[in-house]
Amino acid sequence: MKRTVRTRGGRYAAALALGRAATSAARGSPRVERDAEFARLKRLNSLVRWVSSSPASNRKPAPSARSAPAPAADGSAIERQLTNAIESITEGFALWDADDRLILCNAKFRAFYPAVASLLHPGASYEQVLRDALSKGAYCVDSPAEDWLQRRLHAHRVRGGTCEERLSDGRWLLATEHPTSDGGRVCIRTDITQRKQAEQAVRRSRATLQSMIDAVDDMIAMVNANGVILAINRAGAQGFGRQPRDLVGRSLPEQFDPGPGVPLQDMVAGVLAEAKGMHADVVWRDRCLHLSAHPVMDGSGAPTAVSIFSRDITERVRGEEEARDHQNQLTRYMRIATMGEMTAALAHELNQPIAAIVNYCNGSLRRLAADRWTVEDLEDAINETYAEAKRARDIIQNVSRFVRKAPQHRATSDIASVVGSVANLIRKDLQRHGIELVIDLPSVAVPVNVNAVEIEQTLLNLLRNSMEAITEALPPTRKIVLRATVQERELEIGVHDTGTGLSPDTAAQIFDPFFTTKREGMGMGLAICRTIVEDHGGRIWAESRDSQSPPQFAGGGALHFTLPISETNNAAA
Amino acid sequence: MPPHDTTASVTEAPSTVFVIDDHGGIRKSLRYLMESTGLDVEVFECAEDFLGAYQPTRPGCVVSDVYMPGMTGVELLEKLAGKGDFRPAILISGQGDIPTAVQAMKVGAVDFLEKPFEDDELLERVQQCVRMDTEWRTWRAEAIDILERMDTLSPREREVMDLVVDGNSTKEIARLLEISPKTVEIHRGHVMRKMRVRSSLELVKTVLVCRKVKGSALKP
Repeated sequence: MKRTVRTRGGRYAAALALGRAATSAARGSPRVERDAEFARLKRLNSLVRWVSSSPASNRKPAPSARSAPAPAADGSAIERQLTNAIESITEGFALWDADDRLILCNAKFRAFYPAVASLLHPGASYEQVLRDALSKGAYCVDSPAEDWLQRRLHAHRVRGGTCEERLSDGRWLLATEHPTSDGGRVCIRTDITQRKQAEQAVRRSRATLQSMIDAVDDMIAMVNANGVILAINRAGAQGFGRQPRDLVGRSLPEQFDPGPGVPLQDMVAGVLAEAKGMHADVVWRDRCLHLSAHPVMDGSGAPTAVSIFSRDITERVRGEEEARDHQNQLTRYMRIATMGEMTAALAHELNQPIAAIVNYCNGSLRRLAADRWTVEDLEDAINETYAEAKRARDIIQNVSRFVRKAPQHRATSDIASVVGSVANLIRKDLQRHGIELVIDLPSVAVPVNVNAVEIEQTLLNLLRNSMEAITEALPPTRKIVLRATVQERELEIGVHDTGTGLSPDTAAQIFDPFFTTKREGMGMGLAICRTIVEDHGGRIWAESRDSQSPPQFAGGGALHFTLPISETNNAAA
Repeated sequence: MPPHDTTASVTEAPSTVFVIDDHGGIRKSLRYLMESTGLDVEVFECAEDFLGAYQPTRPGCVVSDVYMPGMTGVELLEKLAGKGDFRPAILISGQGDIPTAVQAMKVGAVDFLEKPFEDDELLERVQQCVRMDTEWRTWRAEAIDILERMDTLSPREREVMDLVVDGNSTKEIARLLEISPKTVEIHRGHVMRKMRVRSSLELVKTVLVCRKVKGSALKP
């Protein structure tokens, strides 16, 4: 190889010189002369063998080469250096004259186009080489071959600059066309396969990322410091009824308007100021959204943009609310149910001793009647009866002790809050039955010193009573009015309903224990209410159908109770 | 009524009320109450104890609580039914729920009482159960006795007996069996002796006691 290089070096300058001669000849002479000049060049060139790696040139060393004039000593050095230079670069290099005939190219250039390497000899036409390469399938083209060819020729001859070529062996070349001062062209081919592969990998991973982001149901967006959308995924844009491309460049906070309570701009400012993530749960257009905003750093590590995720948590929030409501309701009902449950438990416990007592007494009487008794028998029965009776008494004493031990928590409360919590409790039941609840309270706070749970129980019982009266009678208007009015030192609370109302007899007995008009009722609910109200120093009564009612409730039921207004806070009231 | 000529008759043993209740006070007081009417009472704290002492031949009825620690009253009746013992039983439950009552009836309870029950009502039901048990045992013993007597008949005698019970005269039987009336009379005499009856009418009545059951399980 060393020898070849040396030889080639010597001849390179000759080729260059010939090239110059050829171009100048071409410029000044008619075509015939030019062809003659090329023939001469070709002959000279063939002995140069300046692209030594080409087997074609190696195969045909022209014998006349030996008679070529030896280059000057000085020129020989420069030639060598130039040859070295052109051969040592990693790019493919080719020089074409003003008529687009190849003057010279380096080994790398030929190596890039192995299919047409044999054609790359001086004088070869650029267009012909390109056509041959194309027809031999050297290029991957994405348009009709002739169009592609014309574009390439145009780039080569007129436009100059760069374009990218994809070779059929998978390589990518960057083709750069430089015009020379004498109308020729220098072609540089740079292998950019690695860069293209890297770019493709990036493109692929971006596409994957994009499809992932678009597949997400939640909004993912990136905004700048002014809240202007830099990017947004499909779900996010759809949330605003738009396409992602329509939203880029618009203000994200404005998209959320006029929804109240979406402090997006504040979040963006906060995230950028503190360079850390922020979260907020907001309500927008009857949906609950969980917003999380995180800073996006630029190369220097300074936060320049903010990524915003918005997750629709409506279902979760509703589920939680429902569970909480349900839990609250259950807790309240449990408190209220205690009395009924205690009664049931008491009945069960007393059942056994009383049954035993009855059996002993009956057994004794039968023995006596049949005259078939012994003193031992009867004594035994009396002892057992005594023991069972004592057991029953103990059970009752235990229950009384338990009841007395129940703590009495009384505190000054505003009646509005008590009413409010009961209304919340029964709201869903009323809705289910299509009953409207109207609450009419004094405009000022009325303090009452009560055990709030007990008064809630009372109110709930009265409201349930009204609700059941309505669901039984199914009147055209289904309405309950809970009205509280201040009467001197008392607060009077009335619950009116549009049910069938109460007969005077029923009204008189309705608060008695075990009085009930319902098939399933125990008759304890309103009796408990009376105990509670009277414990608080109030009164409770029922209006019968015959008593005076507000006209809209004529015939409906009404239950009232009073509570003394708290003395200590009277001034405030 | 079947004839009472039951020399191989059952049990002279008196009926017993078997009370099963986990509650001591109830158990003891029920015994006192029932004994006042002359009933024999045995009490058990649980169904397992009762089954441990169980003798199928002892007549009587069962009065059991439904809900007890361990085996329930319903399960106890299922166990007894599995042994072929369908003696009358009363189940008592603190929680009178309909599914339990239905189940109790399915496994053969005669009655399902809910606590607290009327003491006199319970006594009446118990006495009724004891009567049912006695009647059933009597009838069953009788039927077994008759079947045993029938087993002693020869095939020809059996044929003659069946034709007599179906209401055929001696002549008709002779014609049907293609034998002489005299021979029929001889077979008939043997049948009457072996079945220990004095008249044709008595024979018919006796045989019909067993025909009612048609080979159903008479032996426990």
